[in-house]
Amino acid sequence: MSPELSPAFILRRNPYRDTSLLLDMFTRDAGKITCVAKFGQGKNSRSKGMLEPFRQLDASWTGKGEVFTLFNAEEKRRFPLKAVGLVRAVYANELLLRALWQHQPQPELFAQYQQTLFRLENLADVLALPLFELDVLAMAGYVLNLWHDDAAGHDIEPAMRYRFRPDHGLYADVGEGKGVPISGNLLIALREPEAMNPDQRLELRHTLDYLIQMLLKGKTLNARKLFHE
Amino acid sequence: MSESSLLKELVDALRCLPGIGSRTAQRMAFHLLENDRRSGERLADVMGRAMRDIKHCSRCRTLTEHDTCRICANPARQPQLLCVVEHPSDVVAVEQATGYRGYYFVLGGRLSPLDGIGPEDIGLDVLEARLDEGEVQELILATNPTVEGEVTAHYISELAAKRGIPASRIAHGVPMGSELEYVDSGTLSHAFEGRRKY
Repeated sequence: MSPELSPAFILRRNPYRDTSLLLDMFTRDAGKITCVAKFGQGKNSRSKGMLEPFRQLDASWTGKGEVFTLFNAEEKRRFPLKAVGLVRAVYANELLLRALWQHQPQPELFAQYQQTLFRLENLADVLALPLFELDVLAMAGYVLNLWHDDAAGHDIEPAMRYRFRPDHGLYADVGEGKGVPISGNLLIALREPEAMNPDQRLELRHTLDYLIQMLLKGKTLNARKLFHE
Repeated sequence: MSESSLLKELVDALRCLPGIGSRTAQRMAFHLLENDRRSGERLADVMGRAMRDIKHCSRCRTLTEHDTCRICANPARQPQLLCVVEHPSDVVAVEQATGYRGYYFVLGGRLSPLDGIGPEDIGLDVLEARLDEGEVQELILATNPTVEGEVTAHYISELAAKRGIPASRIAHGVPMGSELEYVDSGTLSHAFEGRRKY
């Protein structure tokens, strides 16, 4: 019996021996998995060209343990990303590679990733990536409370400074220096992100960089060096 | 395998070549030792000299045993054209297939943030210094049409734009002599986007 097909994206592909590829994939039904895809010569190279990031596939795989064997893959949609849109999408892939656990299905995040790739085709859409980063952070338990501080339950005040720590949530900044600093103004702006002004988007960028660094235990994503936003 | 540890060492050493597994390496070693020792000695000699003397060209970073390679040392080429490629083998391919008469710059790889390869790893500081010399008037981006190659092309095009140097990207399309049915969707869609008046 053939294994079942799941929608999937390739996050990273690397050559493996002479005729194979090692694929890190984000699948709807099994989360992040690693597969080996084997190829012969000639016309099979068509599917080799298809096994690239930013193409939605229907894929199936077999095997047990950490590394599976790709059984079948069909391309369903290609996201023609260009220029800075492509760089942003590579950043999203690196974030998923670092932040996701193997074999843990995240169907909601999968749908958000799909939607993000769609939005990244539009180079002027500067919010697509930050909103996806917030989705990934939320999946990891880094949820910003946009209405109340988590310590005292007070309403968020635009002029107040706050700090966020994954184990404490959001709390008023009393100058003790730990956690990621966030302004009340940004938290309120995030209730309607599409209406944010350039200053608020810049503050969001800095905040996301802090939060992701915290999520990745002090590491910065390499793709972050490739765009200046 | 016999008990000779030197023979085993030779087989193991041959396995470093791409596509050579233990059986092929063993066959090669026996062939050289039993049938063609002279070729084996020549191979060892050339291999030794090549590993010792071939380095990167100080101008374009391709492989050469001289300080500057044959192409960079040729004053008859067009200094206003600079073609950026990923590997020294790409220089050979472009030289053999096209009438390009400008100079080259070899990255020695491509930006691959997911594998930890950043701008500093592919000689972009050397490329920037080259662009700052002011001679280059068109930068031809001939990195591979992969995700990493496209990211690299985009990054370098921004370096060129900062200096007011126009950058062009080589066209991607249907390979000559192939059939549309067997061309992948990405290539075919590029080919349609880049169609030209007939």
